Amino acid sequence: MSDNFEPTIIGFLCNWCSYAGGDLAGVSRLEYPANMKAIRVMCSGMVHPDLILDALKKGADGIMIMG
Amino acid sequence: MTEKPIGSVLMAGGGISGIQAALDMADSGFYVYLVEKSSGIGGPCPSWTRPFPPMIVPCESSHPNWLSAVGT
Amino acid sequence: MTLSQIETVQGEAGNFTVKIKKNPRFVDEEKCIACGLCAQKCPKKVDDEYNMGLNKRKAAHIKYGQTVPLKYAIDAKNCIYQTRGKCGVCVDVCPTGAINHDMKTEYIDIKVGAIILAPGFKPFSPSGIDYYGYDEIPDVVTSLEYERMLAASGPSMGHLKKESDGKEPNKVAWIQCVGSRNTNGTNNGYCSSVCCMYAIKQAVMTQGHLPQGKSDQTIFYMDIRTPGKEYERYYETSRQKGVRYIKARPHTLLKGPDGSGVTLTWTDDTGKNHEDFFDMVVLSIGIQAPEDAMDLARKCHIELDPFKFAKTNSFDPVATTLEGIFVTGSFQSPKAIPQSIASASTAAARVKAVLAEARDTLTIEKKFVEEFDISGQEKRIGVFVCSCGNNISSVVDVNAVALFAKSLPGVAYVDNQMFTCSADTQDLIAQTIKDKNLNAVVIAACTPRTHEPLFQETLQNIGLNKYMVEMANIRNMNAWVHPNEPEKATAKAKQQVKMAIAKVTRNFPLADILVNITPRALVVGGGLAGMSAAHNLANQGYETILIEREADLGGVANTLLKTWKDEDIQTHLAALKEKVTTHKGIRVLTQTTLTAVAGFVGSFTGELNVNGSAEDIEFGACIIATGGNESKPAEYLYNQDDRVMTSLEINARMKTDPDWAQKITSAVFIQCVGSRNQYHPYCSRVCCTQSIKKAVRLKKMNPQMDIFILYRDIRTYADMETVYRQARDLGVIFIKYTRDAKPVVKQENSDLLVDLFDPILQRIVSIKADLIVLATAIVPNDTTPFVNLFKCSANADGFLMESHPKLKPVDSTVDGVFLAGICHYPKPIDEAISQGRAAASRASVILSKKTLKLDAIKSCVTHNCDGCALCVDICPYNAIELVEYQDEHGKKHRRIKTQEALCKGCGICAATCPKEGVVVNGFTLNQLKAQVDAILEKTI
Repeated sequence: MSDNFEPTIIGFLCNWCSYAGGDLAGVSRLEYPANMKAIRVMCSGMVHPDLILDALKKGADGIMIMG
Repeated sequence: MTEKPIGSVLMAGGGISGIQAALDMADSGFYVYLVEKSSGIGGPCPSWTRPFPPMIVPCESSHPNWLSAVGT
Repeated sequence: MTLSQIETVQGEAGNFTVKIKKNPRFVDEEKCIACGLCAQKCPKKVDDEYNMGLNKRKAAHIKYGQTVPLKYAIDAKNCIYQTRGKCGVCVDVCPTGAINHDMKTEYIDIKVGAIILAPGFKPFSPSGIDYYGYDEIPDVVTSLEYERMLAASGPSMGHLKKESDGKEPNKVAWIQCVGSRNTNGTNNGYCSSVCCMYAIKQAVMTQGHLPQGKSDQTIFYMDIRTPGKEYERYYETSRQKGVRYIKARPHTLLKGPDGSGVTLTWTDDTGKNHEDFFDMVVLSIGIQAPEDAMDLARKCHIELDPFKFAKTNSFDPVATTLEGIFVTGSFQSPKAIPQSIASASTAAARVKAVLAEARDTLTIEKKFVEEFDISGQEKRIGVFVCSCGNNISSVVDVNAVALFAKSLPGVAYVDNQMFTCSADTQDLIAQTIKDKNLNAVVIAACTPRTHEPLFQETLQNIGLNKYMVEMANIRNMNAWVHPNEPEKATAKAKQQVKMAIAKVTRNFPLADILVNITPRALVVGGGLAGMSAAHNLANQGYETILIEREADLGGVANTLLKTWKDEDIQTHLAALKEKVTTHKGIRVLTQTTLTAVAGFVGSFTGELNVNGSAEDIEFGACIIATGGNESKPAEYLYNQDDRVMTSLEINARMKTDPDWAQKITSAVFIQCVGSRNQYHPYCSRVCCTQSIKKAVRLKKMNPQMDIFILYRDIRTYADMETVYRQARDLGVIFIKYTRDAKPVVKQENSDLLVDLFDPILQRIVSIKADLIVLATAIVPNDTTPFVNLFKCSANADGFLMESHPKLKPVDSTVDGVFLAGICHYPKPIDEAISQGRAAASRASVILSKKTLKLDAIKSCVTHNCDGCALCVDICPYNAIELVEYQDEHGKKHRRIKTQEALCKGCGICAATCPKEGVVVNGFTLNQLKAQVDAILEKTI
């Protein structure tokens, strides 16, 4: 794996907790890499297994489900 | 008791208790003036960590029957 | 109104005129966008009171990250411009011109029908008390300071470190009752109610912060007071996790040998001295009346109690001494969060009853224009990219983002604004939707959690369905967190916009769900809590049905005599029964039970069994107040010797035979009989105070009587501590026992003897008694019918569960169903009355509306559903049922049906379904997949 590998990470963030946490990270100006793109969901429980398999098949390097 | 009461309430104190009382009243047909001494509502509760998370405040602050803005 | 306080109060209940003093913020709240530049550039550093002075903030500041309103303020006491007339850096850097140093104190007169006071409390300061060493020893901190150290959002980001040398503390001690239960040097002869629980919590959390197995936590206590719901379990678990408990009040704290840490000295029960070294000592400081209590009381013409808390009585626990002025929270007496919130709803209930006539006279209802139809139309998307002053644009190239958006399919219009959220931009967005014929909107700005409702309203105002807007969070989740990577941030912003466009392309108009409200309440249980709830609801103007299983109202209160404040319970109870049975708004049905329930919040139907005959009812909300009773023990010779009786039995005896006390020479009270053990692993909350109160009464009736109270921990929380002190002053003898060495009751000849180990005398003592009172565990009346009828939950002890143990202590786990009294947890009558009224307030929030509007983010069944029912059991809200239907050929099929009013839109059903037979509107698999695709397509 080359040194300049930039993984694409998809985050499924629960509206009520982790998405709020992501907002708070912003207010607190906590820095983190720009590789993670967040998709807001109403509960981490709504993330269908197909969605994860589909994302991995299409080239996602990592998936975070937070809730 | 006066003949015709006024349908508004003064809620003095914007801590967790004051916010709850204000919400209960504003949500059932009364106009609430929420008066807080410091520059923001929430009281001491937000300074507690688990299991006391800061909560109801953000989404409810735009209540139509709740005046917490300046001098309106 | 922030930075404001009461200046004067005139008038009477129903019609007060209050003068409010509003101190200047020096920041125009309308213009402030909370970008924080003023605080960044402000040269004046001061101690941050939010973090207990552990770090610095600026004179221009917000209290904390999630402050509401999220607007900066300039603190006049510290601002260089305000104090010396020079500086003004903030004015120069503010991008919106919000700062105005010329703001003056304003006085505003407002007219209100009632007033509620909730000024909170003041933490006790251990400064100046030499034996605690708080001023001299760096590693002695208060519990509030320690709390901030534990917090991930705190000054040390949740890393524990000693102030003396910056190292991690491995051995931490807590000292309880600092500034509480102490009349020596302070006037705080009450228990602060919250410190035991927070100290245990801090000790347990500390274990999580330090390497496993290497840390050591010790709590020095007088009595461990965990009388709240689930508190005792938490305490027991902490012991199992290795938190040490030592019953002692350390008398000397000295700086450790090399300047760090603390050496503690204490004396145990036997008089033996101990010394130990700790890395850090936390002082569990108590709660005091607010600093301006006297001033506030004078301005509002109300009386205070000896501890400077507002004076109230047990039967109307939120009413001050002036009609129309109420009190809630810790200004009434020290209380934990659940009791504070319950008392807030109680105060609201009282206000709503006092002002019932004026309901809906001053409130404002929003009206919206009719929606235009966009069905079948191609998407014409408008994208609005926000600079947020320079909050976004200083990192993200907003023009590049806008240009990129223009290239995407379906996008008809793109614009960039300085502030997308400002009022004039809302007008502009509305006008653009009209002019450019847009039918979907993407806002690339901050977070939908705070701003989506604003933009939804903008759409609604011109008639576009409110679910046709999506936001791309390019501020909180981009510019603010990637300040040093502008190129990557811009690329990410483009992707975020692309995702939002991909999603909104698949959005379709959704209708909010309207539920008609049946404006009638059902109260189950005619005890003190239930009657208080019904009476308040009726006074608020809502029709109420009160059902009681027994032939008489009153419940367990019928057997009680006096409150700990010596108020007569039977007088109040009789008056309340009279009010409830004669009130036009209340229909009282005795010998009645609830046998069936269907429906949901706002629109329930039920079936009653009224003394043998069935009756159907409709109601919008329900309050369960089915009460409880004392358990009957199988130990201590109960039922074998008639000198042994329970707390309630002695009440009955005292009622029928007032002179009976004269005949007794020695009485022994045994506490925690069947409580705090494996059968009832909770504290029954009321027994300590009740036994002590009885002991005081007996002692007053017959001062010659010897009275012993055998206890495990005395739990006279809040101002009930005064009765405990009074009992000791009167000569009642308290002997502590442990669960492993319980007292033994035996008969010898005709004598009744109690043997137990006395920890002070260090030997077994034998007490001859002619009365033994057993304070037995309080158990709920059977709650399983309600668990089955409403699908609400009960805990392992049979008490009904609240929707959130701290924040929603009166709401059950089912919307529209509320809890009051002992069915929720054992509680004294003031708390039962308070919770009854609090439940009435929560119920009237529903009943006051004609319809209940629920958002449209709900599960929805599709044609793919084949009735496999995998989702039915998994739904946490029981919102899905299986129904049969016939197709056009008359063939029967099964399919699920969702009850929108019960659905919370969590989508667990959608994730479980193998065939997309159920989706959540607004978050369909299709929409989520489109966002995934937008991230993974390499087109940027």
